[in-house]
Amino acid sequence: MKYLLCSTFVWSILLSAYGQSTTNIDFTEFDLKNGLHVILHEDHSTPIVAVTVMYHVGSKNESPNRTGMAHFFEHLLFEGSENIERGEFDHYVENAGGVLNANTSQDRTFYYELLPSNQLELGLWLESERMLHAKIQQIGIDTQNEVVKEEKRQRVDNAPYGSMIAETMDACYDVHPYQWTPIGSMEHLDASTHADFMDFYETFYVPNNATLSIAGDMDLESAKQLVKKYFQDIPKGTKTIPRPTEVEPKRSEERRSIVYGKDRLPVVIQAYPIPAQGTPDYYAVDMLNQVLSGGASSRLNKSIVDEKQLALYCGAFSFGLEDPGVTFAFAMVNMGVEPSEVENAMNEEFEKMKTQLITDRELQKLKNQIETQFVSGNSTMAGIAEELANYHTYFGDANLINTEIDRYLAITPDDIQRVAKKYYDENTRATLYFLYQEAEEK
Amino acid sequence: MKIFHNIPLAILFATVSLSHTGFYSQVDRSQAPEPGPAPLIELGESKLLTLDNGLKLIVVENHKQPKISWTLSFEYAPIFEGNKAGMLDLFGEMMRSGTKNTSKAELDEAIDFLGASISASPKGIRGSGLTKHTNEILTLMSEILFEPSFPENELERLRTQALSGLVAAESSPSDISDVLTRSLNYGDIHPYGEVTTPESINTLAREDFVDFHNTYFHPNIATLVVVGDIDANTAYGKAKSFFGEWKRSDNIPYKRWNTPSRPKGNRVCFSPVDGAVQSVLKLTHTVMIPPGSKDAIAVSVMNSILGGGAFSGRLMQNLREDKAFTYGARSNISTDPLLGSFTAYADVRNEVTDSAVVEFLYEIRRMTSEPVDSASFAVTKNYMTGSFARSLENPNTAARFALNIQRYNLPSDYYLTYLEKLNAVTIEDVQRVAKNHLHPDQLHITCVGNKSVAESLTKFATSGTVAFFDAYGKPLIERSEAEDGVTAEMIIKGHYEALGGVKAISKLSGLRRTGSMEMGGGMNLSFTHTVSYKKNKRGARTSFAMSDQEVITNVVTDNGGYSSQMGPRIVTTDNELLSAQWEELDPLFLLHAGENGINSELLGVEEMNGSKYHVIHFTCCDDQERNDAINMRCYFDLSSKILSFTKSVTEGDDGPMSVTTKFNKYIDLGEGFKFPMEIVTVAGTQTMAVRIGSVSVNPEIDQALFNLD
Repeated sequence: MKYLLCSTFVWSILLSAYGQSTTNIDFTEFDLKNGLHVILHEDHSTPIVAVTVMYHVGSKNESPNRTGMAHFFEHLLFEGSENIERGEFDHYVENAGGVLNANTSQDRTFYYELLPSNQLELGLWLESERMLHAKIQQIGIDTQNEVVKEEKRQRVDNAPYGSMIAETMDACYDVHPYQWTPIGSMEHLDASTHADFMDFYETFYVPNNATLSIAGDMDLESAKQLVKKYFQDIPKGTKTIPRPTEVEPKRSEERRSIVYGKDRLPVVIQAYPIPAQGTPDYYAVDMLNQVLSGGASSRLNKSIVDEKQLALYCGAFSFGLEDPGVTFAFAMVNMGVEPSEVENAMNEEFEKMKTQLITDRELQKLKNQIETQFVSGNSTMAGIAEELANYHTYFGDANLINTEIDRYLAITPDDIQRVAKKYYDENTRATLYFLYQEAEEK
Repeated sequence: MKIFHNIPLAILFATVSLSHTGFYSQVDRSQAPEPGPAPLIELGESKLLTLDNGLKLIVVENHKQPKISWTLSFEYAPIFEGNKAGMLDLFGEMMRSGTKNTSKAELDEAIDFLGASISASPKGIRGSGLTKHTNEILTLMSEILFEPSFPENELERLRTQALSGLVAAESSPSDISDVLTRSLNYGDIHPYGEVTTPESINTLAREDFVDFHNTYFHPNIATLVVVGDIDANTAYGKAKSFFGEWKRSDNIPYKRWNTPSRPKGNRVCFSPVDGAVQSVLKLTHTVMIPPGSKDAIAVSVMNSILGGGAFSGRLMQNLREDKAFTYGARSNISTDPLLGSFTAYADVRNEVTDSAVVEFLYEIRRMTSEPVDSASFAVTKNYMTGSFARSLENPNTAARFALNIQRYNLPSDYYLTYLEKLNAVTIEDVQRVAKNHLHPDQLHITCVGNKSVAESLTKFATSGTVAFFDAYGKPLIERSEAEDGVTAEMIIKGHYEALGGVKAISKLSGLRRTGSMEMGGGMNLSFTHTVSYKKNKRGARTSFAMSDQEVITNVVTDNGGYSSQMGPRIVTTDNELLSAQWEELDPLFLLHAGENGINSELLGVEEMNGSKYHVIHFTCCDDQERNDAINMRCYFDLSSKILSFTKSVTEGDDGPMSVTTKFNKYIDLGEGFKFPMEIVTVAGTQTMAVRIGSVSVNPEIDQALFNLD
């Protein structure tokens, strides 16, 4: 039988170099006079179109006594506009056979409609209404205030390990607004006045702080005309758009804390400060993390989960942010194992990264993984529209959707070792143990 | 190569309005713009082919990206794992944990090196990666498929992880809620309802995995779905060279299952979680809507109006947008060839838990009691049309359609005409299917949350009480330890003493009891039970007759047994015989459990409906052949000392069944012994009550009654 003969691993065959697979994303982009940046990607394979607006506002643009505003707007901006009755926003989209939603990060807020392609104009009308004159009314504020509190209870307070990210970010930042997460403080939201909301809207939800990114089944020329029709008369914002200037000082001593909760399995988190996304060292750290936790054969999984059997899961991933972010090393500890034992085992792996270069084969594996990720990503219109908007918003270069892979492939084993030494520094990290409540009483 | 169907598919993407206005008019912001002409929806082409060994192949060609996925999936009847629950959860990882010639670490490395992914499950194996790595991926996939070694040490690793995972799930409200609703809807003796526990994980052995692989992993129940950068000819060639020699099997088990019934009235079922700030609410019951059945599309329209994906769903609008009780309220209804379920759900803050249940019940009842308004109806249809069209962006959708067509025996144009069928659904259809399939008075109203909110839900329970459950969906029984010094033997002896004395009972040579069983509709079956306890002549015969014609007969002797239902005799299996001989042929069988190799354990004292019971658990046996032949709990009333009822799990025709037998009205008819005058048996969804009219002690017995020939 043929398959019995296929079981040997012929490394040499696998090692031979392959040509790089590519899928190029074509797009056109332009600015309107009011500062709105527009990106269009034409693709006729399915009769749908993704209409998206990315506002360059996230939780880091909030003032420390008004946290949660950007995320709150994500809810509020579905409440209607001067021409859209309260509650009708989603009705228009769903009645047209579409879907809509939005999400908020530390750095940006993203709104989208995914529509049948003959409803492109509807999507543009809706998004332009939202940008031009959204309705900021007390009834909407009051309802969404309760809904957001439920969202926080569901995703943070009542969810297993729901406070993990918030606790970790709080431990990592003292001065930079990344110290709070997008969900923000319910007390701040309760204390916000109508004037606070109007000011936030007029400051950030303006064409010169937004990218309109459209992907799908459309004719480029007609789409451009439609974009102009609905967006060119929206006035440019008049307020200064504040961006945080705080620089988190480098720490010289590790910070450790224990958080008690109702989750039974202990979790160990180490968070190391890293440079902002898009910088050369950021790519090197990302590759380093891929060595540590990309796939079942990665070092942390192989050593800590499979061989030593200390953890249910162990990995490291970069939390790439516009300002300097963090990389998390994370382990969910197996029952009956001491968290410190897992932490020591993680540290051993980090030490190896500092003292030894990765092998050629590991490097090739990384490159193959990165290549597959780039080829497999960008498979949906919504995804492409979002990526194009991301690259433009953060780096002013939407074409990174096609070229960012080169930045990864340029990373050498020396780079990886260098950033391991530089950023996986125990003196700069925050280490958190999440332990079961009863343990506190013992 | 034979191509069965090959349909190029295009339909008009039409929603409400088709009128078209020019682009370049003056901006009129006061009105939503009109849509352009409806575009065509292309369904995507799939090809279905079959290999000589029965392996089916579905190919969806899509060259947009240089990647291919290969998904091999098996189709077999749902499997009940019993005391091995969790084997199937671990099976996929065990498959991926090493082959005859390759360790797990080597496999992981080889797969990661390609940037590929290969995963396995009890339902099959899937590999995907870049086109240029096709041969390497298929080589690895077929090695895992054909030569898994299921290493012992990897089982231990997975066991540790699974046990840790269960500990983590014990404090996760959403996990607890999933387990609770499954076990309530389907029961713990149904494949969809059984629950993995630390005990069941601990019983898993390597052989369980080997057996499963040998039994089910065969080409004649498999379909290989290939999606991506490859044409059908090439895919067929690859399938043939990698899977062509694979041997079929004609011994793949098929099993039917009892259909569990919905509760009589609404039940409120609560699983407490310390410190919870929200209640995870799910209102659920089973539904029988096989995929592709007549009502299926109307049911999905109905569910979508109530609480399907759209934001305009009634539950979302009511519980979130109007009341702000929750971040999201939805419902779903699953079509399943065996038995699906309807569930309406939301996470709500503690204080509004009961108010949220009121709104859920209101919205569910409203679906059945009034026609839906034409506006919601139109939005829903348009939304569903759009969802269907959007789903086609993913090339896997075309493959899924082809797979469903053959898996559920759907007409080949089922998806091509899906939008037509959707369009044909009327408002009357929606109310009709709501009435047929939603049962707002037969719900499990489940809540996982803070115990302090439980009492507020009492008003929704038909029984007037809230039932509590642990994190594994097991009833939380308030069980206390038995008094110091009390043993199982003392309790059993107490029972026999109360009936007439151990010594007197041991001297019985036989019994005859007659009575009747009501069949409903005024019909009665007469009941006769004759038993001989004489040494070497032991035998018992139970019969039910209608006008002197025996319709059900059951005979047990030391040499074997049979049963018949107006037909040929069915020989009693060894497992059935083990319990039948023990229970039937010895008047003091409870006392003699140990001598028959049956374990008895005193679990403690339970309180139910105002009475207290000593509970003794009888089990046999944990060897391979007689696995779980006996699993019975006996409840002895603390005040009368007499056996009040038993609960056991037995093997029925359609899988395991839980049986409760109550012994009521113990009376001494003048012979010096007390006998129960009423015996009520509840088995699955059936209840049988036998009323005893006469008992004779030590009667003349015709041994021919026990004849096995």
